[in-house]
Amino acid sequence: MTAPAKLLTARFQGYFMCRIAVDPDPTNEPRGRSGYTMALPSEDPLDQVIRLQPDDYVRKNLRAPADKIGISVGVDVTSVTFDGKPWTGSPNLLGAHVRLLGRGDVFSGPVFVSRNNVIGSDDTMAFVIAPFELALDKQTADGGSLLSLRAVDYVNPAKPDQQLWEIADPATYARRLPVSFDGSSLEAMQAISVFDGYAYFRGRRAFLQDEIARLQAERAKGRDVEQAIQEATSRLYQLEFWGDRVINKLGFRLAWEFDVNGPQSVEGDLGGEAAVDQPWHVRFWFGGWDGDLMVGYMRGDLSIPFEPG
Amino acid sequence: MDPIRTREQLVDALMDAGDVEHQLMVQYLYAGFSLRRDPMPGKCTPAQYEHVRRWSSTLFMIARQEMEHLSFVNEMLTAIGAPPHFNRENIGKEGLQSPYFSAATLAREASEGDLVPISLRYAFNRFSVRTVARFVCGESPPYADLPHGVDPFWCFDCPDAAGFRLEQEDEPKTLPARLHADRNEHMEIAAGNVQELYEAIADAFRTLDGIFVTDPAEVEIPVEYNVFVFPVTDRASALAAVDLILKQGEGLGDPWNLDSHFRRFMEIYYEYQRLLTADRGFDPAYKLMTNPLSGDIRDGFVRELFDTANDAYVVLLLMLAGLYARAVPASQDRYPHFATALSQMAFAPAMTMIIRPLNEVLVELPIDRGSEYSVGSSYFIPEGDQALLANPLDAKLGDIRTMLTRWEELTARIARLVAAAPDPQTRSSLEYIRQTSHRIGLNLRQIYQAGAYPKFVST
Repeated sequence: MTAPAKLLTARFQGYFMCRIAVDPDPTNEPRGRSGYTMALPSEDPLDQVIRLQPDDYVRKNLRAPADKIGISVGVDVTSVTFDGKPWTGSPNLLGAHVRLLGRGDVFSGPVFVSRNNVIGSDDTMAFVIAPFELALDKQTADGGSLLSLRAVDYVNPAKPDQQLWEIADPATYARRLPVSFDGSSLEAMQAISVFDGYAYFRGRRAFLQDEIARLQAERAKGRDVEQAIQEATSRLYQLEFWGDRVINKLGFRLAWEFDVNGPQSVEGDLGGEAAVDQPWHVRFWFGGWDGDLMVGYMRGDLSIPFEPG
Repeated sequence: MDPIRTREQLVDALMDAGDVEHQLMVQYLYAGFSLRRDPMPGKCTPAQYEHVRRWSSTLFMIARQEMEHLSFVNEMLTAIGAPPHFNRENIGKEGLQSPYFSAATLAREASEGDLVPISLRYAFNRFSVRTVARFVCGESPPYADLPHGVDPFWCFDCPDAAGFRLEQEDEPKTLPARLHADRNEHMEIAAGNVQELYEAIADAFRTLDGIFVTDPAEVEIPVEYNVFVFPVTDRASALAAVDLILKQGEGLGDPWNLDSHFRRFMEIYYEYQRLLTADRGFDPAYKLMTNPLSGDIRDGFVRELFDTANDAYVVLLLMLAGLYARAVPASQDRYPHFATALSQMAFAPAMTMIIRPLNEVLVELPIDRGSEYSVGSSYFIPEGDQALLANPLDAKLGDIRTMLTRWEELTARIARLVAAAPDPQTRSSLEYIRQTSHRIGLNLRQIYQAGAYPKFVST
């Protein structure tokens, strides 16, 4: 068969969670001491991992008022096209859950690698996401696997196990650095429906102040709510202490784009034949970052050379 | 303090200012690293821990701003053609007395019946009520400049009002005129407090003509994380730097409701007292020894970790001394990219990814089996490195091989610590530091040869 020339493109988007330590905290800081992110005593430690789907960790650590302002974690396929036109083949990837899988030599999942300007650049948000193992999964109504796609990219295909800290020349992983950084992205702000970051975080501060007042009233009745009061106070402290550094990240948009160079696979009936011997192309952005909730928005697509069946 | 009338006197005064900023910074770091990183039953409840977290954040911010002040002082030195000054006296077992913080200096204008300021000795103390009180005193403006309504009791020897008594009142009444006997003898500068020192420096910059060199070293540091460094190249920028230092430290010239180190420490002190009143068992800090020396540590692994953390600090100082003596603006950067290599690795990477985490591992390990005490870095500078730092124009400090050799030795020490780590958590933490240290060494070499990796285009 002639190699497919046309592309099946799955577009995905949604909120992600990444409870990440930020400079000047070291990048493996579990609790948060000097940066603006922190793990409160009622929460799990910061683990730096990029999570695109809700799991127990997300459910436990997603802070209020996320649900009230319409934030729920989950990056899913929201449209599928073939050769630029809507793909209506059945079954298809529409609604598939998107995940980043794999683990590095330090963290339990994929992370934005920086090490405070040692590997990436905090100044220009130049982070490699490592490891990179993109997964699209669609399940049957009873929870079985209907479709499962995997696309793995290696920083250095010649040495798949090589870690970023072992590489001297950043040019080696240039293709995995963001291709652009927009510090005030309309697309990111549209995605999260926030156009005035100052008002957004004034609202957050008001929410926390109200919460503290409510808890203080509870305390006056003899309830032991001191921990909750202090946790809310620390969140308020970070917003007031860091100000613009937190606020301006709502408009951030960092984009990546590359041909996947590692194993690619399809399990299940995609309605045609996907070429796994040609590189799949992935492009995506992370942005709209709320540094208090430690969630942001991801949008992107995966394009696969494809021949309909 | 007598007015500064010559460039040589100005150089000496700036070196004194550098000493003060540097010594304050390392003491703040010692106290900051002693703060707990997690709640601890019986000592620190989860609710109390949130206070501790906020104090950590504030204390580290103040330490960063002391680094900023030290940077400004060194920029002022290089702007007038003097070498940078990153040397400092070690703080020994008995602490160290600066004339700027002695009772005799602080009380010299007191009348009978006035509250008498106490001597403040440089010391590595864990975070405690006394430590915070000492920090408040050290950052306090003089009595006459305290804002109306601000209670000054704790800057003075007035134990009944404060409810506690600070140590070290037995200071000699006669003080050396300067911090170091080996300074040149161009001046007779009277000891004064830090505010007076900076005001004298500002006056000198206003009045002395022809002191600025035409092409000073310019260190470029990103303005971020509450640090606001800018190039000092002339009279206007020097005066702006002094103004910023005094506003951030003592709060001079700023409305009282704006932040200063003095005010922030005072707020921590009051908050801390309130928590202690409610719970006498509250203890926000690990039990760190006061003024630790390597010989105090009986556990071989911990002693080596202590020495390694000190060495990391010293290597950083060597990098800074080399950098500030030879920095060039990014626009003029050409091979060999010596200054770029140092500036890219010295600031955030070495400080936040090596020195800090080494200390965070160190403070959790007892100095001997069964001991309740641990230690943080004493920021000890060995004699040989003191000599090197005293002469930043020495060719060794302009040679990338010196920096690489020292850094690779440091990485090798950390690797040996990984191999000898007493438990998996310590090993894991040290391994992450080792990896980063390894890469910093690679970066020093790579950037020296090729320059900083070009950034992608931002929109």
